[in-house]
Parts: sequence; structure tokens; C-alpha cells
Amino acid sequence: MSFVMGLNPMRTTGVKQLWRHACRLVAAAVTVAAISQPAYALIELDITQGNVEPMPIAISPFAGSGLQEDVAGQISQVVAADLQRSGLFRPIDPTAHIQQGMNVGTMPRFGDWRTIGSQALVTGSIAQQANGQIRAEFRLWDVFAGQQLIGQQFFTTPENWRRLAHIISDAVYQRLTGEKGYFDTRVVFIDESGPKDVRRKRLAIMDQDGANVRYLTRGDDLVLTPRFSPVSQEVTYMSYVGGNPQVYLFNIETGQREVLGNFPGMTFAPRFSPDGQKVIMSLQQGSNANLYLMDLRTRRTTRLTNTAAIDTSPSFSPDGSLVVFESDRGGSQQLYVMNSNGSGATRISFGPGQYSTPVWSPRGDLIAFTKVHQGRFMIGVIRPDGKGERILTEGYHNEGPAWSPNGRVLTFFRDTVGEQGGPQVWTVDLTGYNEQLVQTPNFASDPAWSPLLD
Amino acid sequence: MRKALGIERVKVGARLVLATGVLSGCAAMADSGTSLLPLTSDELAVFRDQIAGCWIPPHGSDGVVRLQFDLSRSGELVGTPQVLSSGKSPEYKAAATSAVRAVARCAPYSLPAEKYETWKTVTLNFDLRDMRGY
Repeated sequence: MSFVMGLNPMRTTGVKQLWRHACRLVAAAVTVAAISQPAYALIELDITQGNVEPMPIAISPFAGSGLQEDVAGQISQVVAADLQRSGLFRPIDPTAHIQQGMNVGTMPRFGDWRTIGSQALVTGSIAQQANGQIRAEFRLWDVFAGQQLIGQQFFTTPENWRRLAHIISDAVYQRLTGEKGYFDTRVVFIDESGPKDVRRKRLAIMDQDGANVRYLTRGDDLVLTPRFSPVSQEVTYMSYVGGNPQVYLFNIETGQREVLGNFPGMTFAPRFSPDGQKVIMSLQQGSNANLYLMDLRTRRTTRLTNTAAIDTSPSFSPDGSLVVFESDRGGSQQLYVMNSNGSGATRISFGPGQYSTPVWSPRGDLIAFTKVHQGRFMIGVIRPDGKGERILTEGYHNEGPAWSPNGRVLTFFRDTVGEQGGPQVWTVDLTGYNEQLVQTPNFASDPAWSPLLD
Repeated sequence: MRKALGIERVKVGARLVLATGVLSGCAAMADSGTSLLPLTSDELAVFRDQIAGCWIPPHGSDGVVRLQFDLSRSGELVGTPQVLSSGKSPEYKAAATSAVRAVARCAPYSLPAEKYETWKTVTLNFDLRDMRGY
């Protein structure tokens, strides 16, 4: 904080400033004899703290012409739901809006929006085109500055309306938070149906909000640990075909599936490298497991660790230079970071309990993990140097964190006790306060987030 | 423009920007005074806390946004706050928008009337450097 007197305002520029200089010149001419020191001073303050609360935002129901009236309303509802779920926004109930019946061309009455406490406003219109497509337009307004922040137009087929809503949500999210959104994404997971002792497990995919569930396998073979490529619509996962666990590569667009490598032992915990060109995984030999890297083009495999221990769950740093993994080489399950060539492994977790399933954030600043201590299962984050461990959620059984592509939200699964209990997919953001259940048709486990679809 | 799985995106026409209160700003500035009584540290702290309470720092942003604005004797904002720093990244744009919004949202300000000449023009540095990463 500082108090500065007599700073020269002439260094600022712009039309308003020029006008201001003109005003001052007039004032100076009138009062010049009376002034013996600068006509004004400046207070200068540093604001280093803010109010961490969800931003109140109004999503005015989108206007739709003809056949698109319902679609228009649904799009604005999905945008509001996306923003609400992020925990960073608080959409204001449309029944409380004073200015009703807006379309994308309506000029907002900003006073009305300020009256209901809104800081930002989204308006939009959906119109049918002659070729069967829809034209969608939206604007994001800053209610206090009284100006438009975004205006965009899209053309697509009516069945794409949910994606359209997510793309609008991402644009609003990025303009107001400064970081990329994660709404136009999908999550692969294991759909679990049937009684607890004979669960049918199918690989499935859904939009990040739980809509549009599709099944990718039929449930004949057990499937586990699906992981999205960070750069394409490909998934790697483990499946017990013929009783032998193997790592598979699956292309979601084409449906093509292939076994990765032909190893003497069982392969586990596959995960893509940041460029999507390699898969890092664990190979069990006897009672040990070590980490291997496979180049997807040459299919050449490189051994990364060689210990009389169980090394598993490897995950690359986003720049590809480091790998975090879990190992019991020190006596109990802990997290280690090593160079991507396998050298220089260093333990980073030292708290009480056992640490597993580490996943490096796409932002690079944190590693998420599952921790078990005194019968409680926790999802937490830790910095790559082992400092700053924070538990985000805990309970009877939480497991398998996976990052949203912007590194702000984790998805994981939580199991519930009892005969009727089963796993469900949840999300939690980095504050730990915003925990959300993702509605799925059946029980669901092992979620993994796609990159942004664009 | 971009195309993503059959969705085409284009920018919507010209931005609609409302006129700001330049004339009222002129009136306030012409009203000059002669005394410059500094604000006490308590008065500055109250002022700073008022703004901090109105500011929702964007989660993805980093850096410092510097802006200046004028106040009327009754503590109302005169015109639109002027952003003195510059940047083109999404992080900076979000931060700058949030800072302007905070200043506008917080008005009117409770500041000692007898020291108006001291606080009629204010510069604020909204500093996000230690906020990122939670």
C-alpha cells in the first residue's frame, strides 16, 4: 500500500484522458491564481485480496424462432447448469430477471441487471436456417462496465445443441476466469450393472455433465482403468480377455481396438504420454512389477524401472520430462517422481498412510492421488516437489482421480457400503468445497477426462 | 472462425459499447481544491477492504492490473475506470475486466469529505500474483 502525491496524470492516454486534459485546462484557466500546489493528488493502493465467491451471472433464456423455441430454452439451461457446476458462478433464477424476453439483439437495461445482483449477462438467439441447420448467436455482457465482452455466432445441426451449449459455456468461462473451460469434453468410465457379485462392466463414454451415455464394449470381458489420450479421441484401457489382463488401444471415432504388445506377464495401468505417441504402463513379472514405455508407432518397448518391488500407476508430467508413479520399494505404497528415462527416482509423499494412483495435472503444478489412512480413502493433491499436500475429499471409499483438461477439477469414483451400494462418479474442484455427483444410468467407476473436443 | 465437429464459430458483428459519462467527469474535475490532507492508514485500510470485498479475482489469472478512476465528492464513480496496464492474454483480459467491475460495483465509496482533493483520483493495483493455484 502506498500514498502517492502529485503523480503526473498526463502519462495516460486515450480519448477520455484527452478530454480530461481539456477539462483541466479550462479549470486551470479559471483558478490558476488560487492554486499553489497540484490541483489533485492520487491515492495508490495495492489490492492483493479478493472475495472468493461464485460470480452472480444471469443467463437470459435464449430466444428461439419456430421449431427452435424448445432447443433455445434448453441451450440456455445447459449453459447455466455448466457454469453452476463449476462452482465459480451462481446463475440467477430466470424468474427473478426484471428484463424478460431478450434476444441476442436486445440492448440490456444494465440497471435492471445490477438491481438483481448480476455481474454478467448472457443473451442468445437460435434460428432455423433454410438448409436445416440452426444459427446460434450469443453475447456475454459485463453488467457493471455496461459493455459486451463476447459476441459469437455458430452454425450447426439441431442435434448438436448440447455441444453448442457447452462451447458457449467454455467461452463464457474463459472470458471471465481467464483459463480455458472444460465443458465441451467427455468422460470415459466403466459402467457397472447387475448384482454386486456378478457385475457386468462395460466401457462407456458420456459428456462431462453425464449426458449422452454411449457404450463402447458389450460387457463380455472385464474392463478396467480407461485413460484418454491427451491429444486425440483414443482411449487405452486394461481388459481380461481369456482371463489374461492386457492393455488395449481403442479409437472412439472408428471403434477400432487392438492389444498393445505381447508380454509374458500381465500389463497394468496404461497411460498416454503428453504427445499421445507413447503409452507408459506396468508389467508384472513374478511378484514384482516394473514400468515400461511403449512407442505406439514402432511398438518398441523400453524398460524404465528395475526393482524388486511393485512399481505401478505411472503418469507423465505435461512437458514429458518427468514421471510420477507409486511404489512399495520403501516398505509401503508411496509416490515417487523420476526422470522420464527412469533415472533419479525420488520419494515425494511422506504423510501417514499409503499413497496410490498419482496423476499429474495438465497444468503441471500439482499431482492428484488416492490416499488410504486408518480405513479412510482420500483424494488429495501434492506439489511435484512433495510439498503442499492437501486432501480435497475423503470417505468410505474414494479412488482413481483424473483431471479436467484445464487442471481445475478432478473426477473420481466413490463406492458406497452395503448390498445395494456401488460406485458413482463424482467431481471435486481444487478448493475441495465444490463436490458434485455425475448422474449415470447405472453404477459407474474409473472415470477419465477427454481433452477439449476442439 | 473455427470448425469443430460440424460446429462453425464466427464473431458476431461489431461490439456494442455504451457511451460513458465523460461530461460528468469533466464537471467533477473542473472543481479543484487547494488542500491535500493525506488519508490515515485506517482510512486507506477501510477503502482497500471495501474494494477487496467487491472483487472476485478470476481463478485463471495472474499478474497485476493497474487502473485509475475519478470519484465525485459523494464517493460516486465518475466515468469508467481507465486501465493503465496492458495485456492481450485471456488471463489478463479476465483480470482487467474483474478489476473494472469491482470498482464500479463498490461505488459509492465512504471517504472523508474534507479530504476530497486527496482521493478524487485513485490508482489501484489489483495484484493476482499470489492468488493462483488453489
